Amino acid sequence: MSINCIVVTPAETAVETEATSISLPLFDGDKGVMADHAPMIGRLGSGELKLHGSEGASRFYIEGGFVQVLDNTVSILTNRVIAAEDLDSNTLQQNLSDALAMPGNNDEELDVRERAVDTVRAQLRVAQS
Amino acid sequence: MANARALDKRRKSVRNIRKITRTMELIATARFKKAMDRATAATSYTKRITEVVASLAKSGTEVQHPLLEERTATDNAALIVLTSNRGLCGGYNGNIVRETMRQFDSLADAYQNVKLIVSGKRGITNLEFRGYSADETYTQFEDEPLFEDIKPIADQLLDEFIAGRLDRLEVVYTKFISSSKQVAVVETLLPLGDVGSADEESEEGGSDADFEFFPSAESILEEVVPMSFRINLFKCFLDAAVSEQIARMVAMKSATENADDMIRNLSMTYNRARQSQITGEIMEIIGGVEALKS
Repeated sequence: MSINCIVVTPAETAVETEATSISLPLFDGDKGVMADHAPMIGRLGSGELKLHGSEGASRFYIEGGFVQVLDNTVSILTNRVIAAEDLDSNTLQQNLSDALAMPGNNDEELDVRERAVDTVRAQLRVAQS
Repeated sequence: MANARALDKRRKSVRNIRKITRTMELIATARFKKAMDRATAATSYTKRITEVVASLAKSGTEVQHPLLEERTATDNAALIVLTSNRGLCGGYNGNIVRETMRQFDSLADAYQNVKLIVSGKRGITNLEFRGYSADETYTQFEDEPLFEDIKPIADQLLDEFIAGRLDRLEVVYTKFISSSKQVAVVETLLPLGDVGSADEESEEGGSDADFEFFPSAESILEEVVPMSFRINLFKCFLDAAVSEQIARMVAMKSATENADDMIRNLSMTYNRARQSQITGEIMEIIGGVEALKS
């Protein structure tokens, strides 16, 4: 029994595929979905989306959004999708040091910096795993 | 009679212009197709987010959010105007500018401060000429607006709205209705009237299933509402891009047709002029021969 998995970003439908099991980054930790999962709507965090299919697993980095599970269809609405193999640790390390070097003189700037650092760290985790 | 040589020169220049307008028409057609594809691709996200909202509403969650509430305060309003960076697209920018002036004036009557945000060089200069200077301008959006570029603008407006520095946000853009009809419209983006849940009863997406919510329906709602605002704004940009290309396509098509007409008329006058010139010359020769005979 397979699940239909659809990943959409505001700009396009990025991935549409069949999978036997899916692992999603919910806002507070990973969650696995297999066939015949109960209907669910969840809030996503930034992290790794893993689709296990018949010919191995494919991995993506996704950034926030929602997931809806219904009738063996998993719809993932997210801001950004990057295939894991497109993430390069060296560039990301550079991005991380850039993000850490951002100014943090007031609350607003600190907030922006924190968000940027979190995003890059989440990407790095996917790239390195 | 007009000078045949001058007519010929004129005809040549019209032909050259025709070549240019014809090429521009082809380019606009190609761009329109691309923009249209992007706009269609974006609808799948909107459709799904509507489904999520419908499911939330079905689960008995009170759909309430600060972004949805009508404000009584009338201090600050903002008007976003989406125009193009380039001209030669017929009435596209003119219609937007006209609509903007009307809407800006009526907002200015109701609100104390009205901020004017204009995207597109044509709109910026055109409005400035009419005495409406923009508070914020963007010129980086061409025919392929990216969600990543629009998100920061949307987030900034959201922050202002939530902080109470903004009470109403409207957008003037050219709505794409069909490939033969686009109209300049004003839409209210903030407060969000409803998140596509108006026809939730007939919504086929909002199935009867009992959803589990992680972490809770309220928390998801808190995230869905700002997201649907961002997507609404993004859709306006996409619509404007598609409409601009159609407007250019149509304008260039009629320019090409007009050039064809001109070439036809000029050719006719040119041929007549040439003929009468020849006739004149023959008459002169015959006249000369007759004079010599006598």
